[in-house]
Amino acid sequence: MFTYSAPTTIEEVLGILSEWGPRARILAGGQTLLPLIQNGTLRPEHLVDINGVGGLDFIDLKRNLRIGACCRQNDVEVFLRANRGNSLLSQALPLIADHEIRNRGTVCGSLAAAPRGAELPAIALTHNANLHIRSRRGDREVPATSFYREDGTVAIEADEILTDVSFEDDEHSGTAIEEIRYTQLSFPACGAAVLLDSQDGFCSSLRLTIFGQGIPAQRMGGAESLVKGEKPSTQLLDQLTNRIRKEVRVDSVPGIPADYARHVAGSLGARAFKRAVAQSESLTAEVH
Amino acid sequence: MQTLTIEMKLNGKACSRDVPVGQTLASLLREGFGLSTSISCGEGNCGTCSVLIDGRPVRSCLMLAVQASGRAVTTLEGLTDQLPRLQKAFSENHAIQCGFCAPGFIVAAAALLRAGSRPSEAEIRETIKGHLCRCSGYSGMVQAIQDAAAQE
Repeated sequence: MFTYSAPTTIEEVLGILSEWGPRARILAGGQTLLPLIQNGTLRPEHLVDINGVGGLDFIDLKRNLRIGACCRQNDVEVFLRANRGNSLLSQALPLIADHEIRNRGTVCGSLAAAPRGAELPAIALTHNANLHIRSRRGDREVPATSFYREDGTVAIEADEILTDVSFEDDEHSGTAIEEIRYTQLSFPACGAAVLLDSQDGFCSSLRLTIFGQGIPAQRMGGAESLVKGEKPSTQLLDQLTNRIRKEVRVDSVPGIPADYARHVAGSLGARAFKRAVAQSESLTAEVH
Repeated sequence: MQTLTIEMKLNGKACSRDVPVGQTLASLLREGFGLSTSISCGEGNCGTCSVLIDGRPVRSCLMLAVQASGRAVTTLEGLTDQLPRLQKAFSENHAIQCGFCAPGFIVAAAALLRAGSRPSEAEIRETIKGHLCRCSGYSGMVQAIQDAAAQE
């Protein structure tokens, strides 16, 4: 069984993490961590509860959207509904488990724990959000595309803490998230997130992430290039679907065969793209 | 095992307890205080253990008891305002069979009604989607919650 501490300053947290290293775990919302402890997957020796640390529970929308480590998913959801209802993050948050889980779960906790199939790491990748990481050794800003490794692990050391994350404003982009899940509370078998910018009827930039239970969240570089500079059309949608199916790296997991996941990834990617096109005012071409 | 003394407001009354740091809030409420909070999956998947923390519904199995320190915790027993009409509506709609899941459903429903709403069927289904009833009394519960809201 673990021991527990509830420090009140970030310096104390960093001291504890530096002392305990991989034997300690950070407890923020606990909605990913506690199930893993309950079912025996994780056996930490120490939990450091950061909920009493001042200055970590904030949402700030200036040029970018910044979210602190203790900010609950539900609070971000309510904030965005009022301020940025169409943003990709605003669409993704209500898909996470249910509102009771989101009342405790934090955005940064999900980003740092990055369980397979979780929506938020996929959104961070799509945005290439900036993750602010601290330890006694210093501070660093890590772009999500470096933070999330190809094998699905994350680039954070045992003595480090993700203190906040910042997302670029996507108010003028076309955004969409699509997913398929087997039960209301399970992680999606497969999902796709899209952020599309356009100019004069052409796609100027596409960012597309595929994720799922057997799919480490990954950007579809090939599919993104395929669409760049193109006018949306039914033919382009077909090409996009096929390109994603070819490009996506999928692991087989129980109940979700790799071939099926690959097939669905293409369909969901295209569906999300189509919805993002519909949102982009400058894309007038009809996609059927 | 390390223990800590916590002070919280439980169903409106201030109380203090020594708790092992590894104990979940669900376990403290059921085994320590003898309250109705049911414990089933222990991993946040079933919703039987839901309680209100400072008025917001959460899974008490996914919270350590020590984390309730300084908080207002409300279980089924503390829902004095909404409980009578929810009980009546659940009974009239045959919304409960074995009753194991009821404490979680009623807490979730009370939180929804407390938000002062006349929720639509879709909103009710969204609210209870994380709660499992193995007798599958869902339709009756949705109707019961709508009836209780109408009695406000």
